[in-house]
Amino acid sequence: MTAREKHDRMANAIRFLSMDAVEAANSGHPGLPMGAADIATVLFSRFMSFDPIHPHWPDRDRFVLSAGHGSMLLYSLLYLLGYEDMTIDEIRNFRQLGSKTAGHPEYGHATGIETTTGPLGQGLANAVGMAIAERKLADEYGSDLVDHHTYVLAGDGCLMEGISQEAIALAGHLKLNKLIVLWDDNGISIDGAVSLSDSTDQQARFEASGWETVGVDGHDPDAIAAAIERARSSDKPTMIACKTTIGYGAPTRAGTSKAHGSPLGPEEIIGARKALGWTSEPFEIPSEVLDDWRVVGLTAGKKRVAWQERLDAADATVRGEFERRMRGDLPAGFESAMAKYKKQLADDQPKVATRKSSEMALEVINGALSETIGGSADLTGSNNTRTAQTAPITPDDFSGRYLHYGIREHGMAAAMNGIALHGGLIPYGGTFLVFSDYARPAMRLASLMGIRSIFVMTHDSIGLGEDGPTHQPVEHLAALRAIPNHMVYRPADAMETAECWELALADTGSPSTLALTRQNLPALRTEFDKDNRCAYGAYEIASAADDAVVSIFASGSEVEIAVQAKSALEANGHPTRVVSVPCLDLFAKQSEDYRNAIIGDAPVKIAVEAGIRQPWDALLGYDGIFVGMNSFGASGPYQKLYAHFGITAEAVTAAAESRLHDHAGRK
Amino acid sequence: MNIQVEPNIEAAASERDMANAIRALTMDAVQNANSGHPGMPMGMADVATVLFNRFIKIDPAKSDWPDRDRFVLSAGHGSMLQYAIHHLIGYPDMPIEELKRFRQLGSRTAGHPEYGHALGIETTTGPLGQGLATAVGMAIAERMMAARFGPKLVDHHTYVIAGDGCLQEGISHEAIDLAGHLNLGKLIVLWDDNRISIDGPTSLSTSMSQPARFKAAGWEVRIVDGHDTSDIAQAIEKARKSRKPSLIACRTVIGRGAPNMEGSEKIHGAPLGADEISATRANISWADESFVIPENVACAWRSIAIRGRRARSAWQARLGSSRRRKGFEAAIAGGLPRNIGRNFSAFRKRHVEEATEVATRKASEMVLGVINAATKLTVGGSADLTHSNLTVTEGLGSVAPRHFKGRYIHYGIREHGMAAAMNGMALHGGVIPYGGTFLVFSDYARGAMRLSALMEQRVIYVMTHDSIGLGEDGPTHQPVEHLAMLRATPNLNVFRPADIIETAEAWELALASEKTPSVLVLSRQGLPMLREAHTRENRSTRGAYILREAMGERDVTLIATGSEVEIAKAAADKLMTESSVRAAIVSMPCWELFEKQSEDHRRSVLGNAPRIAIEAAARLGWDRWTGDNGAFIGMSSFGASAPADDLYKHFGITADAVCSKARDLLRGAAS
Repeated sequence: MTAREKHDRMANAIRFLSMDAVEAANSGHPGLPMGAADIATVLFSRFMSFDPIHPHWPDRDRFVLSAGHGSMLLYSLLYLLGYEDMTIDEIRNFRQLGSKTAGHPEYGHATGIETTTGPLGQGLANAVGMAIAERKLADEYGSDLVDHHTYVLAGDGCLMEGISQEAIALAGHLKLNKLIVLWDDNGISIDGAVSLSDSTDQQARFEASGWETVGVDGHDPDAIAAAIERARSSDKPTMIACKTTIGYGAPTRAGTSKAHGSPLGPEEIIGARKALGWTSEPFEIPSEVLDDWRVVGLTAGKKRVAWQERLDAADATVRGEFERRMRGDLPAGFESAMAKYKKQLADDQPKVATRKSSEMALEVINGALSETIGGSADLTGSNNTRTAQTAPITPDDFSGRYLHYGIREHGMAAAMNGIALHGGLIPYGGTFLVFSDYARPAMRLASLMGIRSIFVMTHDSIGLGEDGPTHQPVEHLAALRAIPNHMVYRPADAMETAECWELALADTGSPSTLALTRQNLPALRTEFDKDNRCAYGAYEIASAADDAVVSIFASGSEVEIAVQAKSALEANGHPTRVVSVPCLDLFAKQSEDYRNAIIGDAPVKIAVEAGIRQPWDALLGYDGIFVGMNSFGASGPYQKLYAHFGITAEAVTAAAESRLHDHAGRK
Repeated sequence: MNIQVEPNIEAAASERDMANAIRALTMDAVQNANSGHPGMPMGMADVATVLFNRFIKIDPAKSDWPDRDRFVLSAGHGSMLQYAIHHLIGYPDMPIEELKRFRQLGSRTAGHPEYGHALGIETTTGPLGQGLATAVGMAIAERMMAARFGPKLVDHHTYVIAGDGCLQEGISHEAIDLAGHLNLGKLIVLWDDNRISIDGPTSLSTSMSQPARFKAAGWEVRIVDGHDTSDIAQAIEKARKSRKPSLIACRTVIGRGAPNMEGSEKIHGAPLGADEISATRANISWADESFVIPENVACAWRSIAIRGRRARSAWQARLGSSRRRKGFEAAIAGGLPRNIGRNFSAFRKRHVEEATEVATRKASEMVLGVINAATKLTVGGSADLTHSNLTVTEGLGSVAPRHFKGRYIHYGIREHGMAAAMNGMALHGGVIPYGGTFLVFSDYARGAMRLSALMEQRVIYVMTHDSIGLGEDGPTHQPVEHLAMLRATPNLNVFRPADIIETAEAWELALASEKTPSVLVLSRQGLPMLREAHTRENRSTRGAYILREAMGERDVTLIATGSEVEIAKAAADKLMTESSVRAAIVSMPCWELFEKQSEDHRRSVLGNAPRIAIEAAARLGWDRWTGDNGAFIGMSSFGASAPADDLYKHFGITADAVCSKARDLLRGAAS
């Protein structure tokens, strides 16, 4: 048998598993796996380093299926290569509840899925982060321990989405030459030919971004191999435009949008079997073809053995640190460094903006942790994300720990996800809270994947002042809190900021957003606590002089207002307590007893936050009072805005007293 | 139109002075506010002066003249450039006092240009890249209106000033690809290539060849010295003749004129300080006091308005003699045909009588059939999900390069670019844009959706596949938190209709909301007919209504939206037959409208019995309606990949779950 015949039957195994699984599920996308089967076969059989038995091997090549709707391509590969958790039954259960074979590849569902894809462009942008992490760790640990490629299979949709521009611009700038993108150039989108909506010369576009490009016939294995070979020796990232036929092998649907996203139907599958000379039953792979694939898996795994020997031979301290960082554990000295810092804060009681508090905490964190990697979307001096330890990373020098992500919030968030997924590093990155809108799709994926990306979002309310409503977040706290598994912290002073940073860093299963002020805030927590009080999500920061008749709940910059209102109310004879609520998400996770105790039974409940009401309804119920925003903001000095929008101690006091008066009247 | 391309020598000298007037006003206003961005206006003053002095067609006395050129300051932080020009040209609402009140509460001169705050601000900018992408929509609308009404009535350019940030943002990619694809030759982008970003030189984070990138997207590109007025003028002149959209890369020095700060990031976003201002005055030979403009310079600027007035008068005469006048004026007014209300009512009546049962996305398509036949204003589109969003109707015709007679746009896989382009079309006037994608991808479009709300534009988002009901595509495609996110946005009406009748009602309300964008949240899966009888009244108008009152006093109130109203109804029936529990059913298609009702009305709908809300989405915000002792049946996590029915069971969003929760609540209330 010729090499070409061997290749063809290996590729056809992907095609038929894909057709069969989509047919059985009566749902899914056969077009991409069939069209890109040749590319994937060449990539995995001739280039990829991985080990199906040790799928988490740190120095494996990363493969990202950015065109996630083609999930059957990946599942077929994982099954054929011998990943133990990807059985033929999983393939049969494609898109069924509880299977590992979800409609789109879901990180954590099966080994070998490096990232969750489906929302287009995200995989490509994650891969940029993975390639950054590789370069960074290679710089730290040397090529003996870290030396791998990141391969991406991207479709037309990935390249049309705006995030792709942010990703490729950053990759080109940083000269991430071990990033190789295989573009499935099939000329077909869901609505029909790509030419309905696009005339862009993608190769010219990538070249403008500093990439190497090459165009190949995506069904010619040797041409594909030659292009990958060339890409691996380039000093730039490479995009290989693979001209393919969507649904390759389907006799009437190949090359049309009808092959994209629905089952082919029994007749078309019979036709494909005939056209490709495939005689096996559905879900059956001829043993010699399966053997060919399994040999690929076994051979690839040998590289891991050699790598393990190199790791074993490394200096014990280096090895220990490398392994700790790849596990994602924090180092031993971290807790005590933070304790020392918090004691200092109790003494100093600094009156600073929480963005500044965050920078102060980061000075301690970045000193104690070698794995943090900071950055900002061109707002470094405003987000206060850089510290003494974090020199910038530049295209030719990855020894730094700080990324100038450029004005690319979305690309930044997705790259951070890629860095976190790669392992060995903890990414944090800053922008204004209002621009979480731009980064949101990637932030959602951080939550869905349950990874430790830390978003530093400053200028968190009308408190930013003159820049006006386009820059003032109003609904963003609600929008982020609504995302499942997304921890939104809004600390009230330097102490809470330190505590929130500790929680964010310790949380390996959730991303965090720190919402921080531009304006200065007084120290409200003036005593050192061994206990991290923010860990409860909400706690009583000031208790009432007597049985409370008013409970005020507030977060961030509005806790100061709440405390002032409490003084005024108590001066007027109304015992009032103040609950600081740095994290509603954590509060929701506390025991019912704790929650009830914190909510309390004061007849008047008021929440104060310079955002919209929605997240507070669960605390306030139908009758509670909310003091905050119910419209967009305005341009003006921030003190005037607070007065204009009625978010003041006076307003809180008046609202409480008016309600107390009503209650008295009713009695 | 008489455009003077080669100025005489005196005018050339005065163009420098005209530009310096922008610089001086900018420095003074930023200094006075002690806040703002002087770098960009000072750097682009020469480009802007040439553009306005020699080319732009506007009439400050009639700032909403439909055939004016559109000027979009995409780099919105340079707002003082726009305010200075408006003052100098003589917009009646931009006296010098407004410049003195730059960035103060209640002034027209907000930190970033806010649409509606002052005449001549064509769109709100500040979030980078939005202006550019909005301008693409304006240029599309211009082509469509020109195709419909002819070049005598519609023939204008869209000019954009964009900065490095605009071009780094991903949305710029979606915008320029779409513009290049559609050959929008009357779109001209002036890029302020100053090579400075906030963190420092742009080389910190980018090595992009923007000219090559734009060429790859099908644009014509020219590179000029952004301080050489004749160079700039020639490039604009050539760009105006191009059949492709044009990028003019203007090599500039940020903060040009400030001797010690120009060319550095220090001048980007902070006042220059008194010393540097004095030094700048000396450097540019500007002797006048703060906020004072010499008469000869003021005169030169005001002559621009005279040219504009003449152009507008000529256009007005053409309009007056045009046989298309009525149609044109009606389109610009944006009014719907008078009989459309009757059409909606007839549609609802027929479908109640026929008990039509369809997915609400299908219902939307059917309603659109009525709408698109009744008015020519609507322009549809989808981000490559036409046959899933069901946004196209018969005979709409596709917009394609050089063919702008159609009314349907294939936006490509560009949700953000689509939303921003729709903003631009709505702002341009003459069209009512609607566009579709999956609800989950509202995340991608959000940057622009927020601006629809902030600018109060009638943009209609058709967001289908609105819950786990989409099934097998799994959690990446299943919205959970998106309703909460959208409802949290001020001035955005979110409709989640429960059947074909509510879908028609939602469309009617969305079209009538001239100052509020709407999101129609629609199901993939089929839904039953819930209305028992036709009412002439649009029951969704008040946001929520009692779909079916309990027989006798209410034991419990079930509140639901969209596909979950069916579940509420099934639960109410079960509660009655199995436990003799009397449940009222409240359908709540639009929170925002319900919130606007009187407290008494709201209480009368919600009732005093325990309340259960049912929605296949996150709980956030529902407690407002369920109250202290209420309950919620919905999602508390991301979804999963499986057939829709399996998922509803898996996540416990079923009539049985509602019944058992109701019994729990009633036991709790009794004990």
